[in-house]
Amino acid sequence: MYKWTASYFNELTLLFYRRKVILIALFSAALPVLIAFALKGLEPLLALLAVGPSFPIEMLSLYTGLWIPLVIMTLTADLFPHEVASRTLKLAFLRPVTRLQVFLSRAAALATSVGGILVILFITTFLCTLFAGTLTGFGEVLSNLKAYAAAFIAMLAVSAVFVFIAQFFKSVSGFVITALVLYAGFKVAPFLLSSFSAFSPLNYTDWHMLWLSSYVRAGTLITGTLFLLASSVLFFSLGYYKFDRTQV
Amino acid sequence: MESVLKTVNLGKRYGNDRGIHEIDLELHAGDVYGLLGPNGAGKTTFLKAVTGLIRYDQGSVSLFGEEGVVSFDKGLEQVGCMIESADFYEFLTAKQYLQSVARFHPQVKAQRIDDLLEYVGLAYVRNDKIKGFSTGMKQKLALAAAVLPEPRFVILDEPTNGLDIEGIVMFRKLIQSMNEEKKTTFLISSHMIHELEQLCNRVGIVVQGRLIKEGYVTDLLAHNQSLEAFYIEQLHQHKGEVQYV
Amino acid sequence: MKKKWLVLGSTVGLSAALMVTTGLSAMASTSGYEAYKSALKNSHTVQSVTLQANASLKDNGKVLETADAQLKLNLKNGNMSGNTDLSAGGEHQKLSMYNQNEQTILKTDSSDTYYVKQDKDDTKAEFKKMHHSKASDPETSRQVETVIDALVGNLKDYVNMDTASDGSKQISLQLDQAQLPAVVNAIAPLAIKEATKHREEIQSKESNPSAFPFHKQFLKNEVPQLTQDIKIDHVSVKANVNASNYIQHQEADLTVSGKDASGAAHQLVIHLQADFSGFNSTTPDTLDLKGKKVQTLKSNHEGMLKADGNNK
Repeated sequence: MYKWTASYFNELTLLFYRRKVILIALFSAALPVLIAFALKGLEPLLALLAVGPSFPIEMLSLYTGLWIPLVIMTLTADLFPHEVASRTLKLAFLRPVTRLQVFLSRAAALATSVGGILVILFITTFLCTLFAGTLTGFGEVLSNLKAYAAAFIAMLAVSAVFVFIAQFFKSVSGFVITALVLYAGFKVAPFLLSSFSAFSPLNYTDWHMLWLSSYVRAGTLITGTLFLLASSVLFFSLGYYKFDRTQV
Repeated sequence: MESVLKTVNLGKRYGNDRGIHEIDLELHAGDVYGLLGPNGAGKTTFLKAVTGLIRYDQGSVSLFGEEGVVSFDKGLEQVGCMIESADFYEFLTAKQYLQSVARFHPQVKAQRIDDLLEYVGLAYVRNDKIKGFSTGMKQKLALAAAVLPEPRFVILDEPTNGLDIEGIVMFRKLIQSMNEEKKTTFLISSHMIHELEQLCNRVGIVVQGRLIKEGYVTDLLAHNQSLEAFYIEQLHQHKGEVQYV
Repeated sequence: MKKKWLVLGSTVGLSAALMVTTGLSAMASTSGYEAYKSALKNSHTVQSVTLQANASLKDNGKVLETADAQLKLNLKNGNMSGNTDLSAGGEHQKLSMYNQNEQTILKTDSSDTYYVKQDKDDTKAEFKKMHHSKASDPETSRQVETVIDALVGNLKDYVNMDTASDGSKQISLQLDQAQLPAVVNAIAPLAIKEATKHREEIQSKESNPSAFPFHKQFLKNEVPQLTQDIKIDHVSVKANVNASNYIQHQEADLTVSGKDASGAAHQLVIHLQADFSGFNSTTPDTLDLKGKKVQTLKSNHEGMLKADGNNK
């Protein structure tokens, strides 16, 4: 067991020794505040309420749609293709752990980072609504928390897809370009083919919204959760299959 | 005597018909084995195959009696490695890197990291990012990482690349003392034949992916003045064979 | 070794199977949304219908305006008859409308003059073309539908449906501010601000004594002008679809809150309701203008109606 924890903790510290990761964390915390101030400045023009009760959810949609997938792409590129390119993958393979442990620790470190961003965002937007005086009550916070948890599952599925794709690349740029094109493609595809989005784990990025409504049937939420978890397992498994066969 | 490494009929073929073929080798506890051979003979491929970095397609590998492929992770618990070039996560400092290695070996005390950095002569840059290190400095760090958990078996691929004179002396002393005090087994691939002559009790010669000759240094030198002369002789013999086959 | 591949293989197999199953069921569970779409499309094919509509606007619970309408429509030839009743701030306006023999006839309750506007031939043709092209080009409408589906995305699942034993369906949608897409929340306040703005200029034109005596603007002046902190609080849409897949009843509520220039808070509730009946069996009433006081209207460039001034 200590090997699992050692491996996971090791991957996590390796992530946090990167200056990039610290910058991502700081930016994730600063962005909602910057947007809040920008909207506040534009309030007379746009006639809207800059930091309303729905501010935490609007920011969440922005993050899950754009920012977090970009972060996942960057970190995945660092964890897989970059390690192949800089020949550091062997350092992990020469530790007394199985490749499954290496792979899962990296996936877990990635998931932890995504979770970390969501926690940062939750706290920042909570403070924003607190300062703006638009916090309506504890129920609101609880319901937001549910949406954030749902968003985490959706982002886990996005991570799995990116990690799988990353296994086919030996260079960062090749992976990043492919991942960007693919992500954009998945976002456009439903405009051409209606049934596409039902089977694409990348099209659940606004899925957390469903958890806010008491009118959405529980069955819909359970089905969605199962779909996202199943696709996470599938793509992580396929990714592991490729990773296990990597020769360095 | 305990078998540390055993390969039977080990083979790995690359697309361009290079690779290694039918290598049988057994190392016992306390051996210091030198692997000699021309560039591209397959020394590094062999070392990668026995540590599980690449998948071999023929034969078998055992580390401390644990067969590879099934569980390299178990075998690697007692193995320290330095294979191919000394590559690192460049955003780490020397100390951070050794700490990350130590995480997998709970018995390593924090003090040992400082002691080792002192020993290999990197104490003055312990908190510097590896990014700025020279080849020799990286080589010293890789050596420190390989011996950090006091493994029973150490695999070193071209360990003296880029080392300064002081470093080469340090390297020799380190191996000799570990071998004498702890009976640590070494498998060293190197072109520094004089260094190997001083360090090794056994050597093997790899040419074109095959182990063409191996034996105890004392036996091999019975008829030759030096290991170098023996090596050149073997190489010529092998080339002759190849030419007339 | 074998065991490892067996475990991995079954993990992949099981998760793929679960993904397909849940994906299929996710597709099926959007049935509320799909049912509404299908009913909407089917209701579009109707030839004639009777519409009973009602709308109201409340500000902080006080009723500002109400509007009622009874219309009989023949969508095939464009004929129509009906009347509307508007009330705002204690003021009432009743209006009867007919569309027959290529002309539009309007009459307010306050006078006995019938205002007649000759429909241009091309507007009539356009009406027919529009009505036809929709039905005759399924490819385009299918593409439009796919785009709308994609824009709605996962929010399809907000639409709920209850099916009664007689085959009729109750379809509903309830959204709070947080559940609206961020884009809607960003743009809506500006749109609402513009919509509640009073247009004095137009008002003065409308009060031109020679113009048709119907003030659309009198409605607007009752509405408070929202200028800041505007947000959509709640959206609710309900529809009843009968067994033959026609929309029978449709209602929508929109709650908007915001502040006016003086900083006073307002909560506006707009309620719209429409009942449809007499599917394909409605005949619009016709009006005989013989012996009635008639005034001809021409539409000017702004599309507003102005009386010609000449009695016929």
